[in-house]
Amino acid sequence: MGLLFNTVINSLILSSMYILAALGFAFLFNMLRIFNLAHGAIYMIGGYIGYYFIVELGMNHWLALLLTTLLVAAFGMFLERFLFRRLKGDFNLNIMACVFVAVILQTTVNIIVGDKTMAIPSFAEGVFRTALFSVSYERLVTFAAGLFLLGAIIWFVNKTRIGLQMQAIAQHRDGAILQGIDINRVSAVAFALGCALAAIAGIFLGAYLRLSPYMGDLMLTKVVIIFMLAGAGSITGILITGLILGTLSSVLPVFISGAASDAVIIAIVIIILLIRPQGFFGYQVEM
Amino acid sequence: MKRAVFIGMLWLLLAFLFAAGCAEQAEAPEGPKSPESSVETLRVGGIFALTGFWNAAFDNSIMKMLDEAAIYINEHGGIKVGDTQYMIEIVYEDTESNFDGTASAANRLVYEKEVDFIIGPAEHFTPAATPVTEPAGVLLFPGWYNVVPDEIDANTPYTFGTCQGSLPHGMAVIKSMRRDYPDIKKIAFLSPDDGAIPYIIPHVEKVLKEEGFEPVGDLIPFPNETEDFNPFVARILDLGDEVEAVFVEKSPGPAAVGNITKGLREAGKDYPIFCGSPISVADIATVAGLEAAEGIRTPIATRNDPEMPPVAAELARRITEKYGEDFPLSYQSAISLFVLKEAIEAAQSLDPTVVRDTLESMERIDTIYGPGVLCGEETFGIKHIISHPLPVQILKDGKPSPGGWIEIGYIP
Repeated sequence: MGLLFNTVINSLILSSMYILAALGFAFLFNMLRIFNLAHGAIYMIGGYIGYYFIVELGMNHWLALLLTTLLVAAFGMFLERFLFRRLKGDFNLNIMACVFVAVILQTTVNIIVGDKTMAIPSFAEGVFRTALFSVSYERLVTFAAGLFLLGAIIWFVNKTRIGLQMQAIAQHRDGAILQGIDINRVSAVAFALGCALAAIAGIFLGAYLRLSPYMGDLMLTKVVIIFMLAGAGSITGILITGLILGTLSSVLPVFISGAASDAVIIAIVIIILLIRPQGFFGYQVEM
Repeated sequence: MKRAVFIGMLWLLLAFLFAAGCAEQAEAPEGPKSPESSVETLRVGGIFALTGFWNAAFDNSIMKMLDEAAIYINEHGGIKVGDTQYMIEIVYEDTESNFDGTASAANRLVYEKEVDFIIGPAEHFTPAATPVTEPAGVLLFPGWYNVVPDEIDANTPYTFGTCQGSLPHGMAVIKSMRRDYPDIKKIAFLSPDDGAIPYIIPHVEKVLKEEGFEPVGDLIPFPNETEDFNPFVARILDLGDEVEAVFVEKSPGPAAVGNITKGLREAGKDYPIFCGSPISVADIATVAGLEAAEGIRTPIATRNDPEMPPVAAELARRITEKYGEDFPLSYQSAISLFVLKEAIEAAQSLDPTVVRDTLESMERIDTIYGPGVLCGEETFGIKHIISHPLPVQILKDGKPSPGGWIEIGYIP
C-alpha cells in the first residue's frame, strides 16, 4: 500500500511539473513556431534565481517564487523583443538562437556555481504519516501548487482575452492577424508565460530534487517528448501526455532495472510517433 | 538583417568564451634551485573534463588539487633526476565529459604535446585513453577506475592506479561500517547503472561477504544522471523490514545519495546509509537536509582531520585558503602525481618504460595518504594498484567529521 501510494504521489508531482514546463514550450511553438531548445536552460535559471532569493537573501519561499517568476518572464519578453522578433520566424535561425541562449545560460551558471551541490530548502517541512503511508509536506505542497497553477493556466488560456488571442494565433496565424490581433503583443505575453512556467517548475523541482547547471537538459528531453506525443496545437494533449510520461517515469524504474527504464520510455515514444507522427491530439505542422 | 544578427551573436559568443578563458590562469610555480643543479621543466599531461557535466560534478576540484600538488612539489625542489631538478608543468586537455573527447585529449597529449606521463582521466573514461597511451608507451595514472576491461588490466602494462577507484573506496566505507556497526548484517545494495556493474559488483559482493554483510534481494541499479530517485526508494522499501542499512556503491553523485536518503527518511526509515563514492557528506546533506543525512558516511578526506598525513593536510590548507571552506578536497590525482614523482626519482630516469619497471619492482611506495603497496594481480589481472589508507567522513551533529583512516591492505 505504501509503495503504491508513494508511487502514485510521485507520478502526480512529476506529471504536474512536466506539464507546467511543457505548456510553456508548447505556447511558443504553437504560436510562433519556435522550437525552444533553450527552454531547459530557462527552467534551470529559474531554479538558480529562486535559490539565490531564498538561500542567499533569506527571502520567503513564496515571495521568492513570485519574484523569480516575474524576473524570468521579463527575461522572456526581452528575448522575444530583441532576439526572436528580429529573426522574423526563420525556423533555422530560431533554432540557432535557442541553442545560443541555452549555451550562454548553462555555461554562465557552470562558471559561477561550478561543482557546488545546491538544493532549494523545502517549501514545507515535516512528514504526514498514517498507518498505511507517509508523505512529506514538501511533496504535497509541490503537487498542490502544480495543480493550482495548471488550473490557473487553463483558465487564463480559455477565459481571458489575451488567452483567446493566443489560441487564435495558434490555430490560424494569418487569420488572427487579419482579425486585428496584435501579434507582437501576444507573442511577448506568450514568451513571458512560457518562461515563467519553466521557472516555476525549476524552483519547485530545485527544492524537490536539487539544482544543477545541466538539470535543464533532462527536463528539455521530457518536455519535447510530451510535446511531440501531444501534438502541435493541443493544450489538452499536453495535460494528458504529461500525466502519462510522469506516470511512466515514476512507475517503470520500480519494475525495470536502472537505465533500461529510460530506454523503454524512449522506445514507446518512438513507436507511437512512427504510428502517429502528428502525436495523439495535434495536427501535422508544415514548416 | 539576418547576417547582422548572426555576426552579432557570433561576436557575443566569442567575447564570452574569451572572458571565460581569461577568468582563471594557472599559476606558474617556481621552486628552489640548488647551486649545482640545472633546472628544467617536465610536462605532465592532465586529461580532465574542462567542460561538460563532469567538470561541474568532480573534475574542477580534482584539477585544483592537482595544480596545488604540482606547486607543492616544485616548491620543494621538483623531481630530482641526477643533477637536474624538473619543475612540473601540468598540460591539460579536455575530455569534454565524453569518451570521444577523452580519446582526442589523449591523442593531443601524446602526439602533439609529446608528454611521457599522463594523470587522469577521472570517472569512467580511462578505457578511451588507454588505446592511445599504451601503444605509445606513455605512463598513465587514471583518476578513477571501475575494474572494467582496458582500464587497468593485463592489456595495459603502462597504466597504474592508486586507491582512487570504486573498489578501494567501497572497501573503505564497508570496513568503516563494520567497525562502527558490528551487529548489522542485512543491507539494501544499490549502484549506478553505467555499464560497469558486471565487472565491479562481484568484487564488491566478495568484500561485503568477507565483512559479514548480506544484501537483501537483488542489487538495485539506478541511472546516475536521473532526476527523480523516488522509484528506487520505493524499491528499497519493498525489500521489507529485514533491511538494517543501505549501501550505495560505485560513484553516485550527491543528488542520487541525497535524494535516496531524503526519500528513506520521509518513509520513516532511520537506518544507517553508507556510500562508496568520494563525495562530501555536506553535499549529500544539501540535497537530503541536515537531519536526514545525519550519520551518513563516505570515503573522503575531512578538513582539519587530526589524523590527516602532513602533506595532505598542507594541500588541504592551501586549497581552503584559495577556494574557501566549502571547496571539495579531491586528492585523487594529486596522490598519483606524488607517486609519479617517487617512481621517477627511484628510477632516476624519465623514460616511461624504465619508470614503469622501477615502480613494478618497488616494495613500498610512500603516498600522501600513507604507505602504499603494489597489489591487484588477481582482481585486475595485473599488479598495478598502489593500495594505501583511505579516510572516511561521517556527518555528525550536522557537520562533516573525520570517521578515521581505513587500511585497505593488500588487494588480491
